[in-house]
Amino acid sequence: MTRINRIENFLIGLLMIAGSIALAINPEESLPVITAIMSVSLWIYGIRMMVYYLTMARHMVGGLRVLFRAILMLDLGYFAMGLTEIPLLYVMLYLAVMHGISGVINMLRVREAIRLEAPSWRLNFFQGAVDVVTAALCLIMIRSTKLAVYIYAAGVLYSGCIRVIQAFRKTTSVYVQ
Amino acid sequence: MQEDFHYYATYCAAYIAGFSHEESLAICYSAQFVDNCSETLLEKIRAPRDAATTQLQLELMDARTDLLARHAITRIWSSFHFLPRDLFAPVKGGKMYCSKYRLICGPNGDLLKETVELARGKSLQAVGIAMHVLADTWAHMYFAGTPSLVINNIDAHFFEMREADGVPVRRKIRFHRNIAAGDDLETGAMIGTPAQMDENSVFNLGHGRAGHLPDYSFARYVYMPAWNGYQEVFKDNPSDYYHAFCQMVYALRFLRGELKEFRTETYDFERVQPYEEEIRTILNRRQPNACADWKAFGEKLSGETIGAFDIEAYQKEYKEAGEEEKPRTAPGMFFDAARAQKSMVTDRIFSSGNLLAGLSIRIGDIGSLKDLRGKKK
Amino acid sequence: MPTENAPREVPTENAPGEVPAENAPREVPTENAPREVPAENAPGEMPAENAPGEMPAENAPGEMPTENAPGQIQYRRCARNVIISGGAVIMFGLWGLLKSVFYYSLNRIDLVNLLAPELSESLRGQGAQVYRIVNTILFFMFLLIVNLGLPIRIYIGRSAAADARGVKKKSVIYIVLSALIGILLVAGFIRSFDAVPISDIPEEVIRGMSPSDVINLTSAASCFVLTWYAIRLRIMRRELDKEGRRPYVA
Repeated sequence: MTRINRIENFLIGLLMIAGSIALAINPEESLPVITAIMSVSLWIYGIRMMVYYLTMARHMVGGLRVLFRAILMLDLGYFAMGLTEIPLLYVMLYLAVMHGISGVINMLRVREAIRLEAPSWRLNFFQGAVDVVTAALCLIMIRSTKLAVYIYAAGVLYSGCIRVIQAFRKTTSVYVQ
Repeated sequence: MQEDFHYYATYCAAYIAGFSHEESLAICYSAQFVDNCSETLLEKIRAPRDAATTQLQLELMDARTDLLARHAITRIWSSFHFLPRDLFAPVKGGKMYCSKYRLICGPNGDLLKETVELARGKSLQAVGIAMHVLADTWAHMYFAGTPSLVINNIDAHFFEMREADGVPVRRKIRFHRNIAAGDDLETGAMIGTPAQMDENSVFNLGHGRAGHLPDYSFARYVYMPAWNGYQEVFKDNPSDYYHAFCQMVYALRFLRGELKEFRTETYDFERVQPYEEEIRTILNRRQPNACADWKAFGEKLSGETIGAFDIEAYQKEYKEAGEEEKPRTAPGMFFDAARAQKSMVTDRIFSSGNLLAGLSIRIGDIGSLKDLRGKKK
Repeated sequence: MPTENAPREVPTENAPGEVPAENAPREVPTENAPREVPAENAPGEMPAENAPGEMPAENAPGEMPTENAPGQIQYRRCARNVIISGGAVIMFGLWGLLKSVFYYSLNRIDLVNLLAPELSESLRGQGAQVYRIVNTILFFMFLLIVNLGLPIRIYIGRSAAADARGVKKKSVIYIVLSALIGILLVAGFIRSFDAVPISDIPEEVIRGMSPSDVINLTSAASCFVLTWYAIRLRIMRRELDKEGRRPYVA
């Protein structure tokens, strides 16, 4: 990781940690912010796909498909931003699906790790259990604004911490001649 | 390639090259172990995790998609399974596209020569690793050991070349995601990873999109690689595998000390010629796994029994060895050789201006490991 | 694994990196000792007929089975773009339908009030359920009218794919329809500037362009792209068929 990557990771990580705390302080006012972030994320995804087409995918067989998808994503982002509100239901479903998938993958990892008698199965089990419980809570308490905000904020906090940690990780490969 | 070639065929090549039965077993064991030495296994035997030579499917699915994870993936897969053919290949495009293009695997590149020379004078485990890398340059050509949609993608234009009444015909291959159903060699329904528009998705790593076809020695197929400007390529596995075998014999003779130099584009057809018909029969036989055939051939060659590959063979020995003894055990020597290979390939990729495998620092350029800082060379 | 066949264990007295004595290259009987290999027999360069990538003659099923003449490569590129553009034409149509559904359901638009405000009051008197049923019926009618072009788009997309793959001989109708839809979309966009003086149009276009204008223009572009490639495909096909060199397209 170059120095610029490290600085970038560190600053973005700090921003994400601060943002997650700000979201959790007042859940009622944070929900519209979260839905706005989700909409803007879609739009940014569309822009990134467009840049990806222009820099790389245009060289690829069938790359035109990427261009059309990029435009669709851009419009999806615009569309989401234009809605007056995204119901809490869709936010909770989104969180439930994301955590559910992550939980299932972790449990599969546990099975593999146990089969190979690797000690990492405990950590994977803990992570998987947290994800599955979170997904279940999202579905059970689907009308709870506070829960939606806290879960989303926790996810942002976790990602921010990971970024900050990575900024300090030694990653250079050593070549012994 | 799979166990039939990495284990049994490598044994045969080593024996033909002049190694003894025991040496050939050590070499072929290491060659196959490259496909099994994952971080999960290393954790289990408390071995250094940076010696990993492969990643399990679940490790890949679990991996993050950030920059560091991509570096780690590229280091492993480019070093052991998709050795780049030409790190300076001429190509038009942006920096990132050029970097990925230059990681495309192929035989007879400069890195192959360095890989073989790196194993000279080292342990039999190092020889085994070099043979695995060499063999895979033939099977996995046209794919890259880094997650990349624009390089590793394939589309519906994928045909197996069959013969009907002596006339070559194209039969369409259909890829599906039903692992339980497996590959159906008769109908052409093969497993492949799902199409993912995400450039850095692990589903776009290596030849995942083409499933097991590159690893079947009998397969002959035509398709359009994503990077080839709508041109078709013909992948003739029986011919490629035969070349891989003959090149392995040549490389093994060099590593034994019999030959002074290892050159690319060179094959020991002469030494293999007495066995050519038998080998080609094995390669052309339409079966998903040729272990039995290669085993029988190897046992006929040496007159000895070749035991099945046992992943647990050395684990107890390694776990119970003291810290000072560990490097002298078979796994210990394997891990040393793996790290040497990985660091060499990473260094070459980095030195070519390609950052996809991350940064590399040469130990000769700094005072000691304690002086290591995360800076560019 | 039988112990007599277990891979050789490395004796611990040997340093890592050295080849242990008992693993040194086996002593070859003198009659088989490696001799100085005469130059003409040294493992050397590959004879041309066995160069990597080419099949040795005894295994070759005939000529190299790839179709890489310049015309064939261009044909495949064209065919692939026809298939993709056809898919895009369908995709934009479906997206339009989805957008209508999401927009009206998420924003809870009261169609009765919007379209017939005078009816709204009398319907409310009939009860909330009746009001909801009428709203729903109006919603589906509205969807149908706004998305009338969807079946046509699906026809265009499927015909384009079949034509490009050479599965069926397709008439030019889908090409004409594709061009027509593109023209209608552009005409609709231009019409929105009817009341704007010509000199102000460039500024008004930039200021007034909404996201749906962008998607409509892109949808029009996909129709024109399809038309262009489909015509080129037919011209190339005719030339290649004369030479009997039309390539496979999957």
